[in-house]
Amino acid sequence: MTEFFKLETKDNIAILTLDVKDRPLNVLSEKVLREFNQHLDHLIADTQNQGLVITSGKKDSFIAGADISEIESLDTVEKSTQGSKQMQAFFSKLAAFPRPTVAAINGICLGGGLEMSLACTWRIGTDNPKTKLGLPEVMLGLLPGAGGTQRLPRLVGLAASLDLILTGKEIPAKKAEKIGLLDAVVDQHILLKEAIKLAHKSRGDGRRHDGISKELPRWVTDHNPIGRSFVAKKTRDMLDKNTKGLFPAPYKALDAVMRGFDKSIEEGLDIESQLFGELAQTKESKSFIHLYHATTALKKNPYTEAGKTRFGDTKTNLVGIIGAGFMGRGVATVCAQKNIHVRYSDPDENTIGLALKHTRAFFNKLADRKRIKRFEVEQKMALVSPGTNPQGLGSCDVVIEAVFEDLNLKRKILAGFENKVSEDWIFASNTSALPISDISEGSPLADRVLGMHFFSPVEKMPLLEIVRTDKTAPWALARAAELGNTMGKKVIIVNDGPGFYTTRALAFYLAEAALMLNEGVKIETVDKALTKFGYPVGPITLIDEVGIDVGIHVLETIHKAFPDRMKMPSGLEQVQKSGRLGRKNGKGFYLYSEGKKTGPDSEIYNVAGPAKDDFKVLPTEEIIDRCNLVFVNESFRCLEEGILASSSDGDVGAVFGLGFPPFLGGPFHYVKLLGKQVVIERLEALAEKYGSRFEPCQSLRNF
Amino acid sequence: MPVVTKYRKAATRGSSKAVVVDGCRTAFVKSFGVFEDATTLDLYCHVIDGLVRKMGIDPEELDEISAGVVVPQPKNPNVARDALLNLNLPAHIHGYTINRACTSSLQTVTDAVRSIQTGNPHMILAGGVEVLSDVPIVYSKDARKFLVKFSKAKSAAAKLSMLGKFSAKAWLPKPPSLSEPLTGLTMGQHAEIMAKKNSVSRAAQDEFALLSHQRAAAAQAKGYFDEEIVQVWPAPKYAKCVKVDNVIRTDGTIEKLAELRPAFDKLYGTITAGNSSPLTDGAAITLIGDEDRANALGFKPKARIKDMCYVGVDPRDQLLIGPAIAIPLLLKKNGLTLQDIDLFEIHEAFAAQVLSCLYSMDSKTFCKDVFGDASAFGSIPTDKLNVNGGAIAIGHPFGATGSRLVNTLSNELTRRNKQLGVIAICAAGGMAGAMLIERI
Repeated sequence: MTEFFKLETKDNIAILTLDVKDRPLNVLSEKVLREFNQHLDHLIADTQNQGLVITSGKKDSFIAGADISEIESLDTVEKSTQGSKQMQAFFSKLAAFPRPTVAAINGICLGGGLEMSLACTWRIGTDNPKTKLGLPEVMLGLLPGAGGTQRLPRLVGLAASLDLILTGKEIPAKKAEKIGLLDAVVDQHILLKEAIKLAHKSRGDGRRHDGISKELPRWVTDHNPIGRSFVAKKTRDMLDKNTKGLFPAPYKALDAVMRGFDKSIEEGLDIESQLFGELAQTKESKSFIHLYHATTALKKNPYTEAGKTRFGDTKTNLVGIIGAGFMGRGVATVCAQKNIHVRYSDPDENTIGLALKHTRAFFNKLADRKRIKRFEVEQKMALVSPGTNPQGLGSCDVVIEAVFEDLNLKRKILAGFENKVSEDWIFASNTSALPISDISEGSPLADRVLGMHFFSPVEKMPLLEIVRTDKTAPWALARAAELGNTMGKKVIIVNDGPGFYTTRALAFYLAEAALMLNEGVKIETVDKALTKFGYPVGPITLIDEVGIDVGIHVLETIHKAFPDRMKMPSGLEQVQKSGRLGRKNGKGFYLYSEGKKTGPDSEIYNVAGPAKDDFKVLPTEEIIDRCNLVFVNESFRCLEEGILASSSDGDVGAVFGLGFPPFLGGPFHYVKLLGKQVVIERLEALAEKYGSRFEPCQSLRNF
Repeated sequence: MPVVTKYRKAATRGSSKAVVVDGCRTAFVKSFGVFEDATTLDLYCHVIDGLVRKMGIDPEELDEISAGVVVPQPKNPNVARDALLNLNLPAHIHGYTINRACTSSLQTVTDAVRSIQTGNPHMILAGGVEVLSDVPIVYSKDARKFLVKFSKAKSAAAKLSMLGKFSAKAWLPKPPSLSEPLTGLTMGQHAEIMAKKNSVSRAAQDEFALLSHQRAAAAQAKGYFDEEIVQVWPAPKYAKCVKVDNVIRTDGTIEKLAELRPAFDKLYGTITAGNSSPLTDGAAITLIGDEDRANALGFKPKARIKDMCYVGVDPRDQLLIGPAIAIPLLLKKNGLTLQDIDLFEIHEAFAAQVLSCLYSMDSKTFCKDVFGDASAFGSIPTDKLNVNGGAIAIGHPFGATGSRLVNTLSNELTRRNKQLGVIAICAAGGMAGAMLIERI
């Protein structure tokens, strides 16, 4: 009975310490919960103890949540509802413990872990920066199904609880104490001692008395029906705005909170488990859980061992960046954010000045939002070493070039490092389309050359696509992946080829959108179709964002590589020649005023495409299918050709790099959701109408 | 990547030979100019980062850092350690900050040398920094006393009663003063005394100043300083890259210098803004290392530091005459004469002060009075002295000057393929320091 928990007694207080030995973090699987239940039964009966403390035996982590694979295995609404009810029952038993109970929290306390804590009389946390509390269930398309939507609002009020439940955000201990989620925050070394003290105290009426200034607004919003309906409406409006109604989970979570709030806890829990059961069977939830697994799988890349052998536990600490332009400064900023030293090399003093300004503005904004302390801005800036020459870059761990897309320039930069670098030195190109092997060809350093394809803006976009050539050494890939992970990126490692994975699949998608413009479909019609499908922006807007010149370069590169299959849209050159570069010069397919999009430029139809009154109407479904399925088909080709190591890498790449709708789980998962046969049939129909690029590829047929 | 056990070096003995491995500085610029938003912390970070980057040295190999600052900023009283931590460099590199007036960074170099000479096989960053654009302005003693007591007062009534007793006059901030505490005179007034005592003419001073500018301009044109200067984009605007000294004048003439009014003695004085060093912002740093260790790490040390000598004199007589005593003492101790020395760097606080020192070393009376010698020590030929200009033209961030001279002289000995060089710097409080270095 003591597989997971250790039971001790100190000062007449029972202390239950959870340590799930075969996992790095404590996860509440059914087995763990059953053992917990047995301990509870025993401790309730044992009147020797005057209270109970629950804590974790893991360093810097309390409980990470429930076991996701168990949630997945429940395959009907009834089973999922039942699963939720069972977990609720364990925590209700804890809530009814006849003497005071305390959750002693050091490190992450998420999902089911927080719900368990909510069932305790007291919650005490530590000021360890690793201590974070949150209910991330909505991020998996679920809602907190073990009492979270009921106990949290009753404890901290509607506004504060909705902020946590609907966003899935994690808050530090101090913030948790402020909203009333934690009763105390102490240094981790005295956590247990203070928890034991608390366990000797009963809570009285169970509420915290904050004084009139905090209680009054809560009475206005929480404790009368008018206030509550106002909160519900406001929140729903905000959800509509933020999610465009594409994600059901936050709405159901809101329902669970609002419907249960003024009822008894038992009724509330019933509502919660029912809504949980419904959500667990949605395609959105299944997609999010698929992406969760796909992302977790990235951490085990096949090169890790080679990296360990060569570098042990030492991490990349010094990154050289050649070219302080838009991408370079983004990479530098994220490095500095993660405490990695950066050395710039850019021949233009002015560009460097702008890059430093950009980085400072980023950290100033973090300080404004109190995410970092004001004095830390100086520390972050001190990590960035500017310079107009590559001096000192030979002694960096990794050098990333982010100069413009000129193969000869990149080759020249690489050649400049020959005989000047240590044997552990790595050269990464941030090219989005040029084959890496063209850059490294003939170089004595070829085994240290790879691609690190970041996405713009680097500070926000979560993907890093690492590109390996047949010469790239495994340890170099491991090093680059480790750097990407430190930078907080989701790292996929793909094989070299024109446009690698992301740029290549995207090129087909963008070309298809542009082809529809050629045919006479309106700009906004194309964009609206794809945003309705779930892309954050439409393809034509995206061309404006990346720049029309860059877009043309990418399309041409990919067209050159796959001339038989890819159909090149016409008129893009004329658009560029007419002085339209996209958002960067305020003029593209759309017009911009002070950086804001004002609407499509109707003049564009005179520059490229048919005359104004010759607009063609295509059904929205067809627009979506043409862009989306050509993308899906090309993704399968990348898998077939070994560019992608796995379909789950492809899903991660598409969702986190290109904005593929996450609730569809990526192009490969999408085929699973829709059914392979449906996809093949639609592709065949499109192929007949529009050409071979829609011809379903072999790996799709075999999928 | 080598596995470095941070503290292992503490347990081994080195060669006991201290060398100048490399060095750098920021551009030296007029105060209240391009570095007016900078702090001493900023500038010191820039030279540390600049040197580490230029050398490509693994920071794990560094052991210690020191800084000389004459007017420290209250936020970073130990700017050496603060800068190191601000840069997120390895925490085992301990550091301290000292004040020995204008010889501050000659002193930090000296301390590094002494540490290595006692057998520590260390690599030590020794330098200094000064931002005279931003000096701390303090309240009067009465105001400070009041503030502390007021904050300690227990009750509102007690606070109120204190308020009643306080005079408004005490709240006037005290302007920073560079006057000598013993004499109450400024540095310039002391230099005037020296000029008069040694009969240093206005013309001689102006000629000396002009030569300083001409030589500095020539060195600048030849790119000598570019080798030493690290590029700085001053925060928080990063508007412009600062990489050129901006005090040096290429358009100066003896006539223009002659037009300037005396700055400290309007009636009988000879010292002007033109023949003195200006208020300057800047930082400099030198990597002093154990010779064997520097070689083992693959660096090519530039010079060996052979010896140094510090002296003090009565400020009431000639405040800045110290170099005229320190140089002879240093050379005599090492069995050398003036003729043995290939290059001299005598710090130019004022042309009058350098000329007074030269005059005194060549004066029988002075040498008899000070050393009891029968003859004068000798004269230093112009073509060996301050060959790339001095502080009058390049500028004088107090704390940084010593380190700059060590770097400049090491580089010039290498360029000229010469052997021995001497640095001498005068300092407030009637002090001076001299250092003997030898090219490797």
